[in-house]
Amino acid sequence: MKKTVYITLLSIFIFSCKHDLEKPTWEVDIITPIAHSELSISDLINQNETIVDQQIGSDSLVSLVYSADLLQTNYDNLLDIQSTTNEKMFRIDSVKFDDVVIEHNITIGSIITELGVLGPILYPDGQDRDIPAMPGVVQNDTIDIDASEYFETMTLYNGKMNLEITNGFPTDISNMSFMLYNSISLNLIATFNIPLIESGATYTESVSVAGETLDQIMLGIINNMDIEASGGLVPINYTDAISTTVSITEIQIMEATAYFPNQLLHEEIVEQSFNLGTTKLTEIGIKEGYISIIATSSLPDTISILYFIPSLTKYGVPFEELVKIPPNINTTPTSLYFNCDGYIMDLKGQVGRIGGDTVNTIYSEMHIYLDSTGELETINRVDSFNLYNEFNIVPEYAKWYIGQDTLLLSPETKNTSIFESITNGTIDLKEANLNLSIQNYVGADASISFQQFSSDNTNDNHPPTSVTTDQNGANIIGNPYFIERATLNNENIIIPTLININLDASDMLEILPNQTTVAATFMLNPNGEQAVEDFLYIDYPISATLDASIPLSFIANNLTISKTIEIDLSSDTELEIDELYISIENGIPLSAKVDVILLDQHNNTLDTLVRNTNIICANTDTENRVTTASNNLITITNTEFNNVRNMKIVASFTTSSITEHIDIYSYYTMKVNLSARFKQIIGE
Amino acid sequence: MKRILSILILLPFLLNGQDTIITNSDPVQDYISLSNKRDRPIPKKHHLSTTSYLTVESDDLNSSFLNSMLFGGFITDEMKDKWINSGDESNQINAEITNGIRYQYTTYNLNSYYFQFSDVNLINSSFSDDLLKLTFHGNYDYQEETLDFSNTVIRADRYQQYKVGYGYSKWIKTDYLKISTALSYLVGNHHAQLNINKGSLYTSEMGTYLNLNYDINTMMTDSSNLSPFVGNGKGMAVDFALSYTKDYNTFGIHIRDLGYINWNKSSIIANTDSSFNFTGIEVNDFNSLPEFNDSIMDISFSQNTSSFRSFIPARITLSYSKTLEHKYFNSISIFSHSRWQPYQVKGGLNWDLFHRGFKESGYTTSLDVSSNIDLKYINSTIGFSVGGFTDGTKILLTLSDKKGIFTIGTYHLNELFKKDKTSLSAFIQLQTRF
Repeated sequence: MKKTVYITLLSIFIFSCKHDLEKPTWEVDIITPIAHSELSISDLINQNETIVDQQIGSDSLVSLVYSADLLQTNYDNLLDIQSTTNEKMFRIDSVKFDDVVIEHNITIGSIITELGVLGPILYPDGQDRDIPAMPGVVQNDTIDIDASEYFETMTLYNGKMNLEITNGFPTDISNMSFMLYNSISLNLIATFNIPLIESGATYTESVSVAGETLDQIMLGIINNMDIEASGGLVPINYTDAISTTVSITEIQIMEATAYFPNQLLHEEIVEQSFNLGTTKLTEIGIKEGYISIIATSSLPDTISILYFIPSLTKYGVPFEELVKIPPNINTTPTSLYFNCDGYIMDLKGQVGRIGGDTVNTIYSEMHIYLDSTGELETINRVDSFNLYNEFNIVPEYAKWYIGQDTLLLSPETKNTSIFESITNGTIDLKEANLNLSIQNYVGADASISFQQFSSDNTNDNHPPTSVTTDQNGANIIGNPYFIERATLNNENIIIPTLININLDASDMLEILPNQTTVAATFMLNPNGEQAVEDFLYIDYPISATLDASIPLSFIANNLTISKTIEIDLSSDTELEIDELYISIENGIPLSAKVDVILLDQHNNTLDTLVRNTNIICANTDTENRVTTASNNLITITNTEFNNVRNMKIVASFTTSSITEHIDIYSYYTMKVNLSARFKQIIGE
Repeated sequence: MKRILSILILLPFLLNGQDTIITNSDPVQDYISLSNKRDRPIPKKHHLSTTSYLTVESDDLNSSFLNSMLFGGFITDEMKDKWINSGDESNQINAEITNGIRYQYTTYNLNSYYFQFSDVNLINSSFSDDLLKLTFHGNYDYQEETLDFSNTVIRADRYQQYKVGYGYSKWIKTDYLKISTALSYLVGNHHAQLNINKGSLYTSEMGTYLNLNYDINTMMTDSSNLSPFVGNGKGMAVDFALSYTKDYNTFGIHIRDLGYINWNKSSIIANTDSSFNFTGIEVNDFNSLPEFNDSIMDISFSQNTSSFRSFIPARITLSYSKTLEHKYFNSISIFSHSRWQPYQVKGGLNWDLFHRGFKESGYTTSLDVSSNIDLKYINSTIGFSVGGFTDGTKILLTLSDKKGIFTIGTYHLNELFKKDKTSLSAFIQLQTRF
């Protein structure tokens, strides 16, 4: 029983005190750094995405530097080598044709045979006999004149038919009548009447066949031929013959279907000049370009053109091209392009020309050939061949006298955004050096003269501020600045010349301009042609750059800079920041009054993070050099960051002295630390 | 008879004193303490007992801290300050909950065999006030100060112990010698250990930078299964006891639970050792500011899964007891308790390990003095203890019925009367003999 009581009491004791275990909660207060940065003036300059750069002097004084191209000249118009030659046309009346020669023989043996059976008995071969007169021994004898190996048909506007008869008989022949007919049309071509041809003699006669049409087969008819008596014994040799040669010479075709031989149709050897105004060039280096031939041919055979330009060389080898112009179909011209990149064009004309070297002129030869195919071709006298050339050249350089050229640089106003962030206040610069640097890579004298050179702040209702005098005290406006020509050394490397125009631009910059205006006149070879050879390399023109150097030695009084930056301060965490601390260790002799405004994506104001907060400038000595940094603390409380997408910062800067210029050195820094205090409930 | 019973019941218990997790009341030992051999009845063969023991001790942190940690609630600044400002700058917390059951068989010639099963939960922690400041206050209030939380230790174990033991008894004339040994098989459930060998945080003015140094090692069993009886490790432990009774004086030495647990390969061992100065994200371009909530700190742990070994707290006791001839006070006992529990093995078994074990246990050798009182209806033991996990003096009290069936007690009687308790302990034992 007692045991039972004890056990019961024990159980009650154990289980009655049972509690559910739970996690405790408490609040912790944490401060932690978020970000830090150490900025020098260099960093601040680099934060602005402008083209302003910086230089640090040997004494660590920071200078702002700015460089811009003021002038870039273009000489494309000066050296415009684009030319098209006049169109040339060649007719085919110059086509040549070989003489047609056809031979035919009548032997004694054939005549004796025609005498019948007694003929060979009375007049045996190899015997001496007395030949009586035989009138009409040949009558209406037809000879085929076969010219089919030369032509099929031919109409001549000029030509001669030649007949040559050589009497190889031992007796004279007389009263010979010879007529020549076309075998197809049977029209009479020519008639020859020969009264006497002595034994061993040759008779020749020519008649004009101009206007005649000849068939490939012609008929020569010997109407009559008498044999005179021998007047004694003469040797009878059956092989003795009367040789007849019919030839057609001096053939000039009106139309022909014939086998034409390869032959030169036309050649043109000329000098061609380029119109370059006052520019007188003796040599051009070609950077890139082409020469083209555009040709049209109605000839049935291919035309070959040999184009030879001794004036155009590459590595000493002159330009030579042999090209084919096929028969054109549908009058579509054939265009051929010849690349002449890297060539040198001599513009002094033909070597050894009469009158000596010239300028702007090239010498070229063109030989045009007919390429025979060996087939029958029909050529008409009106068939022609047309062609013209084009020169399209971009020079790399040019030599001799590049002419006198004037470039007017119209007043050009450029907007500048360098000072756009500055909305208020004044700045007094100790100095601001502006250097106009003109570099001449052209082998020709030049000059530049400014009609306008000013800066303006369109927001201040004051007139523009113009440049004044250069380093020599001369007024910059209107003063012509002469720039000597560049030279070439032995390795053809350009040695440029340079002039610098220095001026103090502090007045122009202190107005915090947003515009600059420049107008100038630039002239090449202002003094005309000189004895020294000019040269011009297209890729190396005359350039002018404007370099500004502004040492950061200034007095600023409430110089207000306003800048809006994109920033996303939203946070995915549930961390709620109670306070933000911005600790600034300012080692720059500038004090600032800062406003920071939080904006949403549409730049609507959400909250003012910092208002009129002073940042004390660094401590300086009597020479306005920083000795120690000042410590500043900005506390930001109760700010919602979730919709913040932009942050506008307005800061007004004032130098530690507003009577003496303060120098800003590269080693001046500002350390910024951002830390946050937040309270977190642990255990929730 | 009452005296006999009181000794029978309480002496073994008191032999281990406050340091006892499981009371291993030894009826044999009780028996031989009787002055007259002839008065000694033959002890019963079978002895069955069950014990539950709870202790929570802290040298500086009071019960409100424990209540908050266990049962929740919002911790106010006043509570934080009270915890931080109480006691010295070092804080110790030790908590044990043990439940067990034991069976012992005693032979005719007083040799004994026993089997004991225990379920053990241990938490042992040592940390500085600076850690409390950092944890509860944060670092805002400690700008331009260094919070040093080096030598922070948190250890927690849960395991089951299966122990078999044998006691050998021998009479030497009228003197009595008892030698006991036991071997334990340990089934480890969970182990979590955090050692911050070196740790400090300096916060500059306005939080512009933080200087953090740390050398942290952690060892933890696989947390994918948090079942209270999951087997994540196996180990063994040994016991050894020697006592000698001459006349009415008994001298003893007892080493208990000298052992370790090997935790399995899926355990996680991680360490990190670094020193860095954090100043926030460096901003070089104000036109492109980084994300506001970008990761601020990146503490990287070198972590790997591997087996490791941890030690269970070994208890070493030197004792002296004397039987008194007094109407009420039956005996007086003096105990010296020590503990040995190094954090980990470094370099094998050597003198350094031996020396470290005592230091790293967090336990200061304690001195207990107690006396058994034979009252009319109950038996009682009362005493005091100095040392251990706490600095102050503790009063112990046990009460049991005359037959020794039910015993209840505490080692921190003096704390019961305090409003802000720093320690708490209680135990209950039920036993029977047959």
